[in-house]
Amino acid sequence: MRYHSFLSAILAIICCGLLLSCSSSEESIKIGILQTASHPALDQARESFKNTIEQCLGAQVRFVIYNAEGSIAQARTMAQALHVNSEIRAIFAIGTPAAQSATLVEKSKPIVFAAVTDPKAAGLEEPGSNAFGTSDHVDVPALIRVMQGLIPSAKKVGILFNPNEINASLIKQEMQAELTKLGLRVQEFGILQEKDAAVAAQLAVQQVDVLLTPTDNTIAMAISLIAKIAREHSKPLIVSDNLLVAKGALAARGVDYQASGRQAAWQLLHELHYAMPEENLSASSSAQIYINQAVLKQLKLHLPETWPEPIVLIN
Amino acid sequence: MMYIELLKETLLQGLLFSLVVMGVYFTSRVVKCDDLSVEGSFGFSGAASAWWVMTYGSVWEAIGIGLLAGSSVGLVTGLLHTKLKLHYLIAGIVTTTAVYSLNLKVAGANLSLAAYTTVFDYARSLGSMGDLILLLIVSVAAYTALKYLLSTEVGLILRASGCNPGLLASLGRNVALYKNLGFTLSGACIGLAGSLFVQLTAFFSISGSLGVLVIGLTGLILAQMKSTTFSVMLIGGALLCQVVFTCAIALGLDPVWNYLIKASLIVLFLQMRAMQSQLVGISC
Repeated sequence: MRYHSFLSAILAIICCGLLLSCSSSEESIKIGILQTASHPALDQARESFKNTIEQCLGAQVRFVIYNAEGSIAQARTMAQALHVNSEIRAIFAIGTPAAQSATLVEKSKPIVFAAVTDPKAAGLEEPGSNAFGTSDHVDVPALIRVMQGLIPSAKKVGILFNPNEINASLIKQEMQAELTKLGLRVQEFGILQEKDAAVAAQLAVQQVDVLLTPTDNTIAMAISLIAKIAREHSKPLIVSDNLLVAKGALAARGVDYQASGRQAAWQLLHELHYAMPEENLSASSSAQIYINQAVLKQLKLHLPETWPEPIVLIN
Repeated sequence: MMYIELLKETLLQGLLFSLVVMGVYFTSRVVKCDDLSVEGSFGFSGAASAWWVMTYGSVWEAIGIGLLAGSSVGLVTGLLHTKLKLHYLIAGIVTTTAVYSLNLKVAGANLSLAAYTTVFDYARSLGSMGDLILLLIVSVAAYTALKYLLSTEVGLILRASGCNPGLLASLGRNVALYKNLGFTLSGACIGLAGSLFVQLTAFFSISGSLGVLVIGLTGLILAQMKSTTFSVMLIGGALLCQVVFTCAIALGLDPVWNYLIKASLIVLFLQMRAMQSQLVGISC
């Protein structure tokens, strides 16, 4: 008897969930979004993706948004929920774990991903796959050229990063190899959690000439604090996420998550057979250098006379 | 039916996490030392399994490695508690913290197994419900083995080490030994789950063990609505827990509310249990 009521409770909950999720729809296109976690950069990619799609398709598009908040088990269930919803035409996966979960569960609907640094290592570039997308891989040599252009005297470089993040670790390795090749000394500073950022940054500014960071979620969260410490000690801070320059870093030549979201939207629309200018599909917006003028002035640095790439001055 | 796959996913995860619930039962209810190293065992066994698959390519051996990895984490927690006299809560936290570094060293932040044929791929090649049946077999086998163990003399002493260690000591038995056995068994269960989870999702992520402790405890508490002994309800509790989680997702509301919905559903369930026992007039 008790087991019976227990089972009926389970069934009731299932039915409840199913009924509520089967909302009727008019003639509209539904796109599912699966985000790895709440994070400014990932949120930006999502919003710019949504805006771009809405601009192109108008009011007929609807989004079903899921956020796994870092839990892989949840990401899987959410991917499955998007998979079974036959109204959903395509999936936008933001971040490596979300993209991996989506591609494993969904084998037919197109999946476009963004904010994945190394799609090949993440197993997203299988032949015949329905997944495609943008990589947020930073052009490390170009970033280091920017650093040397601004601070030619730098001898010792400190890299701040979170060793837990695959993207950050990969780019850190590349940075290390590139800097060593140029004869500069490198020191690593690991930041496992946001609350470690202050200590690591304090330590770093005492020991190095320049601070460098890869694209790193933890760094992005703590950037205001790190930038403040760097400025207080007159140490330049070069970042890989263009949007962090406005938050007090000196310069960046790297990823723009708004641009990645926009480009993912264009790629998806192309896949769904909407007319799309060719240049939108291959355009790379990262070939721009972002420089914070206020910080430049504060550090008494100067822009070199000539620079091969366009410069965007902020503040 | 369209939602059959979502239901299947819920059952898959429910069965998988039933191993975690059984593990949590062993530490929390048998040896009566709440073990907080659940996420440590789960993550470490996942990392070790993923590494083994990458290096040696054998997915079956990887399960054994995961089992070993999980039990060693459990054993370390137990030794810290019994030998170094750390409080069991602290021992669990310390081990989980330490294991985090090991995970990073062994597997890194993210390791994709997409290129390998996992045990679930083998199972699915036998039939579309193969993966579900595989997990059902594993879960029931683990349940049966542990249930049998608890009915033997060792199981009896194991239980006594939790509820009456004084008596056990007066009988000349080594309490610490049996406590460690409890921790190790719990770690082995959770390690098995961790290894299977990595193969199910086909990738290891350093954040993969996030929330596993909560799933284990929630499943245990839901199971104990019905029975406080080591019963099939442990599997039922884990399934129910996943049903709640899936419903929160399937409701399709603003994802911001997900956690609030989960919490409310759990409160609702526990409330139902309280009402039921009032109606019956007895508590079980």
